[in-house]
Amino acid sequence: MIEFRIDRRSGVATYLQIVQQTKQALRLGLLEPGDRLPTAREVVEATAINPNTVLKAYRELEREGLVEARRGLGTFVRKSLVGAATGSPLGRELTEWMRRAHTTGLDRESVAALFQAALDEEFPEGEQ
Amino acid sequence: MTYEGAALEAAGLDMKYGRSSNHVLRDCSFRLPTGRICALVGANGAGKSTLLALASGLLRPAEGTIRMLGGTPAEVRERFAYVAQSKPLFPQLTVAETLRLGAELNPRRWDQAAAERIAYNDGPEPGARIRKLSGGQRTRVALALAFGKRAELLLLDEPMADLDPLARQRLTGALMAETVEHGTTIVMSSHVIAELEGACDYLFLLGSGRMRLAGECDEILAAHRRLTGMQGEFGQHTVIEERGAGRGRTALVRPNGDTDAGSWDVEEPSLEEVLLAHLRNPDAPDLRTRSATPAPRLEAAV
Amino acid sequence: MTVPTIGSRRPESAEAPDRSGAARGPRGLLWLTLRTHRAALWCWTILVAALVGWLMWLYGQGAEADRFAGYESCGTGPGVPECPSFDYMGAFDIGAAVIAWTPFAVAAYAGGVLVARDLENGTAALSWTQSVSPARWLTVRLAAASAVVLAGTLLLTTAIRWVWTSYDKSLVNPWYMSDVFHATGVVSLAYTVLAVAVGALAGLLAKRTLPAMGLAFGAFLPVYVAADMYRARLWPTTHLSGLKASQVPDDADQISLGLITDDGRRINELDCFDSETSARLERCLDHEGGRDVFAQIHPASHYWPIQFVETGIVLALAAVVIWAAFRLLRQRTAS
Repeated sequence: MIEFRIDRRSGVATYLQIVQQTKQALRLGLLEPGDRLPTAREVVEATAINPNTVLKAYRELEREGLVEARRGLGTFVRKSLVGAATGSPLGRELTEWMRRAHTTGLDRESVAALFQAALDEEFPEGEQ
Repeated sequence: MTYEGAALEAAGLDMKYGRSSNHVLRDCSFRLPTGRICALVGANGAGKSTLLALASGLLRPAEGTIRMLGGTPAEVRERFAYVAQSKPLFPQLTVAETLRLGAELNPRRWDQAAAERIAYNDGPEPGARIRKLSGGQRTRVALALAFGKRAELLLLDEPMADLDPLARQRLTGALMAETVEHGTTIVMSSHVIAELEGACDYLFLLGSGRMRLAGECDEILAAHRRLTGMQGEFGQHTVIEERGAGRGRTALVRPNGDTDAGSWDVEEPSLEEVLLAHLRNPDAPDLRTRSATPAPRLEAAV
Repeated sequence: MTVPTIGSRRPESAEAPDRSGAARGPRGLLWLTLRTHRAALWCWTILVAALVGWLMWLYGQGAEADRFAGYESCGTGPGVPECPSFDYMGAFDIGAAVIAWTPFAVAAYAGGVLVARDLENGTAALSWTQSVSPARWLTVRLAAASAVVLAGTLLLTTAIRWVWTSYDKSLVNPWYMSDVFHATGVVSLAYTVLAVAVGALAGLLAKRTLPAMGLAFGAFLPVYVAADMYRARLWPTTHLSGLKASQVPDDADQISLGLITDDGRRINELDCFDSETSARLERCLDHEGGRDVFAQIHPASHYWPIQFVETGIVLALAAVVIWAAFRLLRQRTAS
């Protein structure tokens, strides 16, 4: 059962943090289709946040088609996000780029910095 | 069983202590819809405890009316629960006997399982005497009494005051978990705003004897902006607080119209910022959202 | 984006409140009241048992003391019995005093512990927000306390009456003395009820334990003082004259005695009392220049009438105090 970590100081809305962490879990394969998400009660007991927030997050995930709520049973994962990364053309391009960067002589930190800068440029924080 | 109106509604509440002319509450009006988890904040001596005691029927207001769950506090005695700041319990009883107290005094609605869940979950032994318990354990038992009652409305006066951070987090979590199933309305008074920010979706700020801020947290936050910049005047916006910032100025405002994104850096403030600004500036105008305004017939009855 | 409100959530479980073993209202509150005053209940029971036991022992001593009834003195002379080694009268007086003054302890307890303690430490508020109305809370407390102290007082009064009536009453202080009057009759029950009532009102007024005890004690005292002062007026006195007056019985409450002079004045002259015959009385009156002797008394037969009248007054007072207590409670709380 995954657990959510809520950072109240991060400036990101609580329900968004849940949505993002769920998606991350889906990408990493920690959650697969058919797995049950923790109930609102379980989340709330562990994180002491408002139950409304959890419901809002789950509705958002349902709206995106990633989960579905089954009455009386809980909320279950519907779609996986694994493989959206490595198998795709984008993934292959990235692996290729990594090899070139390595050959050029860049170290790990420099690559990470390059990557972070490009990421921030294209996907500013806080937006979807 | 669920009441569809206001969980708590008051109009024109007036309360003063003894013969002093100091009014603890003066013309205080507000409304709390059901199902909300509400934070009641205010400076020390602002009257939070008095307000909760009035709502619980332990005090009679000098003037004004207060209604909860559609009736007077005396009428709905069985449907709400109150825990005072001192978490009063009988020191000579054991924990088990205290839970029995709850069962005996609330014959028609007592959920022993729910009470035990809160009381014993990393809490004390059933046979332990109340006077030997730590602050956190006492709070658990006091809350267990409130929860076993299956109340539709919980009024908690600084419930987390004596607890260490871990106990606070656990207990708040337990509180939230219990409300998930029953849509309980909770009013918690507290000083620790940062902790309330995650749990509460409704806010009451009590000051100068009345509700200065009342309404959904989201709406209240959306109604405020922090503007920072070099331009001298804040124009048509209602300024709550203004200070210098380097060579320019920064202000917490309630925008009236468009905030000119060009000349100002516009930010959404945190709840703590908004509350602190209002506490520092007692003259700031009140703000009440629609759902926090008592029904007209109640106001007219004053 | 619509925000689902908590009110619109479906309950994940619909459990009915647990009804097994649920008690009806007053019974539950009664259990709580008795349980939280357990120590006092034990103390009272032990006190009553000890006193009753002591009174029964005193009964045994009374037999010996009874031998001296009618004798003016004791000693080693002829026709005079040996002095008893035990002061029966003193012991009886102490017993009567303890029983007569028990209501003060009851008042202090009712004020300080029964009412004020719970107000002070917030457990009254606890009961009131656990579905018990303040009025019901006070009612059960008053009723339970009254029942317990009444039962004990009844036992004590019965025991001391038994000792008192078993022997010559002249062995001890007379019936009209305050302590004896309080302890041996039905007024003891009435004062007990008043003590609970006064204590409760004091507790509501003072709201803290020690001040409440002080207030209860201080408010109860004038009642006793006034009762002692005015007791004789509760029933019409009997007027005696002539030989009857002169031979006024020893066990009568002598309100005023004296001589009616020839010119009709009444003076406090006791010279002609205890005359054995009418002739002697006449001679004495001639000698003293008086027309007649007079005596205004309450004979022993007035014991029960005065007891009942005083009981009625005290109970009426208790009713007023109880009404005041409930009114005060209603004014303060939204009940």
